[in-house]
Amino acid sequence: MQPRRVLAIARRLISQIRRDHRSVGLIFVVPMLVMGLLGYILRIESGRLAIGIVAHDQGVVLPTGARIAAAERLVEILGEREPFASAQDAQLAVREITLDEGEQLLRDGSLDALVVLPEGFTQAMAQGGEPQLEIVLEGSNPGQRQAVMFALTGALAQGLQAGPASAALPAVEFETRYIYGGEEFDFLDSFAPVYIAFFAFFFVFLLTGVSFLRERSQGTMERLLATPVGRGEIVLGYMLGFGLFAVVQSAVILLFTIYVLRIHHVGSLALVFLVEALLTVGAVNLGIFFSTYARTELQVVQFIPIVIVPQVLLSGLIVRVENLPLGLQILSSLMPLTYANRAMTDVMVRGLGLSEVTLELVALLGFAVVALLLSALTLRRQFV
Amino acid sequence: MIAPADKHPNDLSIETVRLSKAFGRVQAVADLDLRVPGGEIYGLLGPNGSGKTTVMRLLVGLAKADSGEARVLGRRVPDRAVLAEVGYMTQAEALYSDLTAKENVRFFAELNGAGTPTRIQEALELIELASRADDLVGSLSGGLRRRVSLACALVHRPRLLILDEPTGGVDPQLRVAFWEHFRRLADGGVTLLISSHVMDEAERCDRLGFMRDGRLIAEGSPEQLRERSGTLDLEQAFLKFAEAEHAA
Repeated sequence: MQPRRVLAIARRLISQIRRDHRSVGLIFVVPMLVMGLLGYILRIESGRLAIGIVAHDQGVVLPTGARIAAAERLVEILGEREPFASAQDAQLAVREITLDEGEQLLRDGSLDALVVLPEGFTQAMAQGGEPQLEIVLEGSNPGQRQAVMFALTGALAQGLQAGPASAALPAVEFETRYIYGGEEFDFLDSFAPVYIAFFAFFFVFLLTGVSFLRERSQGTMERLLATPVGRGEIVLGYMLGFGLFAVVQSAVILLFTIYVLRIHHVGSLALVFLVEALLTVGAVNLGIFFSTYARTELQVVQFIPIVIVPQVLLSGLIVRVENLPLGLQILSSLMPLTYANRAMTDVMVRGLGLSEVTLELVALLGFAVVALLLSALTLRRQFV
Repeated sequence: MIAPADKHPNDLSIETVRLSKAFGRVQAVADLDLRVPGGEIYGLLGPNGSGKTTVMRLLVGLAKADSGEARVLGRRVPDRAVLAEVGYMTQAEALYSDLTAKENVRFFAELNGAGTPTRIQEALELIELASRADDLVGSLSGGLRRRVSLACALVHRPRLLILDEPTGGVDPQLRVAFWEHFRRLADGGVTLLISSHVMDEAERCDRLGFMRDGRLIAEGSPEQLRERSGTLDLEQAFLKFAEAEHAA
């Protein structure tokens, strides 16, 4: 193993990609485009929430003589709050209606959610009981459902508690709790870390697969192996060359999401890069492994549905892994992106440290080792 | 990097003993005994599929022999270390078309541990490519790409050059230039193993081996081969030997 030769390979790959403007665009611009679009869509989605409030509750008159009603307070709170107030039809955004009327509006899509205050709700709040409210959703679209619940519960929890001092209101019980994130925390904040990992994995896999295939189809692999270079050095050179791009890419995406999309993040960036590095090692070797089964570049692309799409669906990018049925959860536990996603979320969203993501890092390391073995084996079998 | 003790006493650059390799049912190389002394230009001649490329691949360790053994520069192959002293030019151009000529040469020089700027410049000048050094290989003509390919094979000043049809698809003028280089290298002590199926090139070799179905059917200097076959040119000589082999 000679560092000089490893560096020669890494440097060659870097010059090649640097010159390939389309690939550079693919690595750096596409993630920003997608993240930007994603942010736009997710924020629109939560910006158009129309909430109806059904009050079976008449309010109470406090000893001071003031009358308070939770329903009025709710209309007030939601009406002035981000996702609701920004709705185009502000009139509809938050209003008091009857249950029948509300359910009808829910069915035809004019309302996103109904908040039903049971009789005595204000009473329970004022007297320190356990006020409970019911949230009615249309429910056919899981994404929408999550978005509504997310925005609504966040606003309710904040708003009802941060009332005027005259109304010393106790906490309201919700079925759904969000421990992490805050008032300003939205969907994109929770998704961004996951996408950063995904982009690194996807592009490194694709680029390695294609580069390695070219290496074979243009005959340079033969030539490479007719020099003193070892297979280990080739693999290491590839990891270094593409690893650099993955790290720079992650940095670009991170900066973009933090400063342009203004996602909220906490936690150590060093850890984020460690996760990326481990993921990249796996992706490079998986790319080498799969490229030996492809004859054309098109065939490398055809591996995307096999390698990438299942991970997109099952690793927590779209649906949280915990929400998957057991069988799919098991499948998901065999995918490197699952661990990368979890680690990235833990670090970036929850601000957890090295000791809390050790399991994920070990799993990623395991995947990297397995992929390394696979690629070394295929290299050996191909070119004895 | 090769210890003196490893040098073959007879100073053979290539020596194979009953070297055999089959791909499925096809016997690509059969019991081949090939001996090429240092500083010689040895031409491996034969039709497509006669096993020339496989012999070369066995020598540089890209294929593994089924039986027999091969020594290159005194070392039993496959041996990665000896490859630093071997230059190999494949039949296909095998270059990175998205790199410049110079970058290609530098890359292979570095892999062979000879990436100094002087060596690289030297190799580019040797093949008269210095003026196009910074052009992307993809934008070069076929002939120029062949030259880059050759430069990649000899940039590290190997003691043995294994060239698989180096003049294939090359115009006559460049072909002459190539052979002049080859002769100059041989004069400098470099051993060259060159495959070809163009017989007029064969005249320029010191010794020739006629290959057919993975065997050497005749071997000797161009002169000797013509004499022994009683023909006027090497093409006729080859056919004569092939016939004789077939009859036997």
